[in-house]
Amino acid sequence: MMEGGAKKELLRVQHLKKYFQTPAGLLYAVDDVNFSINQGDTLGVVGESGCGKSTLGRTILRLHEPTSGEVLFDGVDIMRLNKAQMKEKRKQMQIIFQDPYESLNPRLTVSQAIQAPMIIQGLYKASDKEGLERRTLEMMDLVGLARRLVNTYPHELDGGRRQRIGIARALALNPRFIVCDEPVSALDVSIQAQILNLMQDLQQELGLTYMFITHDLSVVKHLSTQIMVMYLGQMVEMGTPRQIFENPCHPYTKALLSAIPIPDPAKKMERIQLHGELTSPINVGPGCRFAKRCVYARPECFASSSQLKEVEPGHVVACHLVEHTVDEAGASGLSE
Amino acid sequence: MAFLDIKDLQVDYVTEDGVVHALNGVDLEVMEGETLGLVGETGAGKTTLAKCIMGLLPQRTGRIRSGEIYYDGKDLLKMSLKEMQKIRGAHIAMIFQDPMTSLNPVLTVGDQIAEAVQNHENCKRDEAMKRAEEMLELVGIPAERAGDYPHQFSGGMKQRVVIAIALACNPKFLIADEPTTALDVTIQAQVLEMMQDLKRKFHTSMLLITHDLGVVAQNCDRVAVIYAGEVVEYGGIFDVFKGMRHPYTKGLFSSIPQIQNEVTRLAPIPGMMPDPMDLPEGCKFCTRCQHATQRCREEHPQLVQVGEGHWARCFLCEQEGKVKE
Repeated sequence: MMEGGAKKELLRVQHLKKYFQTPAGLLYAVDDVNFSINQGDTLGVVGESGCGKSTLGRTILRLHEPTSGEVLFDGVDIMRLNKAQMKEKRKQMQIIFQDPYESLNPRLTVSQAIQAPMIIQGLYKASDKEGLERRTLEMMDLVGLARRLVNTYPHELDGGRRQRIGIARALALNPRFIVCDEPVSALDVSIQAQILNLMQDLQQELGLTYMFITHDLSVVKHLSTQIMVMYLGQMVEMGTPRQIFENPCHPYTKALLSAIPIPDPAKKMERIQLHGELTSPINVGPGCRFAKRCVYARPECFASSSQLKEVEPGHVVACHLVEHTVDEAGASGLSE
Repeated sequence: MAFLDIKDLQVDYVTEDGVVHALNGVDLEVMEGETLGLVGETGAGKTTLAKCIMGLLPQRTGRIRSGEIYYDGKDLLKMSLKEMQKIRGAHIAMIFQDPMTSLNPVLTVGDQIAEAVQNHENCKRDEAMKRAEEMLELVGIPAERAGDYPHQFSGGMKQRVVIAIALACNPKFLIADEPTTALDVTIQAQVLEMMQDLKRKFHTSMLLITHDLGVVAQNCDRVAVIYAGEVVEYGGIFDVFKGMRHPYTKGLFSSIPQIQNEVTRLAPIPGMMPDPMDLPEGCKFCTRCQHATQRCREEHPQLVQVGEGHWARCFLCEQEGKVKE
């Protein structure tokens, strides 16, 4: 879990914003998010539904065009790439979608689904049946799909197997970075564990870098090297799993952690009360977006938004109530 | 005495492709005032069990092969539709899984609660509406919102409305089928806490169906683990969570990443649940169990008592106690 200085930075996101125009006003889905991921690491992104975590993942891949901001992949700002250059880059940046029941074309067989990205990206010609087949079987072996399933359709397969197709598709192009958007949320626990193990093995084997989006904090703790907590489009806290789980500083992180039901009847939960529910990300005013639900909110919380502060090396928090505990050394790469 | 007593319940679904064996001899008792957790994966038969108790099994495909469900000394499965309608809502109520689809989008929430009240109590409409407003306040929604439609509420609020409907006639027994699965953790915690409070207030007994072991640990008195239409282990919450005996129960626990302990690699249960149209002869879990022997494949294990009120369906526990007849 040590932060290796030798690790190379793969992705850097700077001041990324994505606003949507709605009839009710501007929706601040992603609002000035900054972070970086090192090669081979996993960044876990957690938050409640509607906090903008999926939009963040998609904007990084330019599946949504950002309102503003930069995404440096390997030092290149991909937001400046033209269509052809972007297509080339996509070989290296893939996504695994949440719901394996909806993300696969019901009219394509397993082999057609896995081959589609390879043909589109020109790795193989559509006429090169032999090459395509070899690669397809290779991918199926890699993700643990039995070869006999090569000509089946998605509706014949269960959720776990379908998600393996989604993973095989993403891996078929030899990517370096994968956005995993709730890849196990739709699966049963025993199948979920199989898929999580598979993803860990593939990461080791192929040196993959993951951005793992989920609402399940225990999954995030299990997988991540860094965790980012999002609330209404903004990052409220980021740190290593140990920092986030043992020393959560933002009141929202604390409340989120205290709400997880512990599978141990001897440990009764002491829940930190939250007022109400997620407020709307449309036309947000000044001030901390969490203030309305926060039990510790003070007048200044409603007046101005808080900047990210580094509370310990590598652990940043955006909250008025958190004091700078790292002195002059707190020159964080993230806060300004 | 058991409040609700399910005996040897066997249910099939007859489909075009074949007969699906959804429940294969379930015995369960719910005591007065307790919360019984029912845990299992998709397809284990959790929802089928709930539907049987409510008399909501699909008529065209569902078939009860055998079994009895005693409530208040009477067998629910032998009741006529008329009798069942009197029980449903007033004595036994159900909270459905998905609040997004279990409310009627073209009726105000007040109307939907009042409808439940009027079905069972001989009262005027304005009395029923007044009751609906009280129920809304009870679940933490301002009474003024009774005239709003479901789409004007968030997920957590909708589930509160569903709970208000279920509790509107003061039922003695509540079936909650994955009541918080569709909700975020912070909202889940609020809703579960509220359900616990209301349960205490009205002395309701509850069957809580979930796949989340954390939810069970924090909310139930006893727990039953169901696999392929069979209860494989049941007992007091501490007995099962601290001294689980069935390999499937153990597998479930080792599959979930837990916040408290550091595990670098999960130990999932290999394989998948057997096809309910083609279940193994012997133990239903034998295809995925690492301890399976020839006997497990041929002979069907019975529930064995492994502790005070703690039962497990596994040959490994056979030496320890008496077999349930």
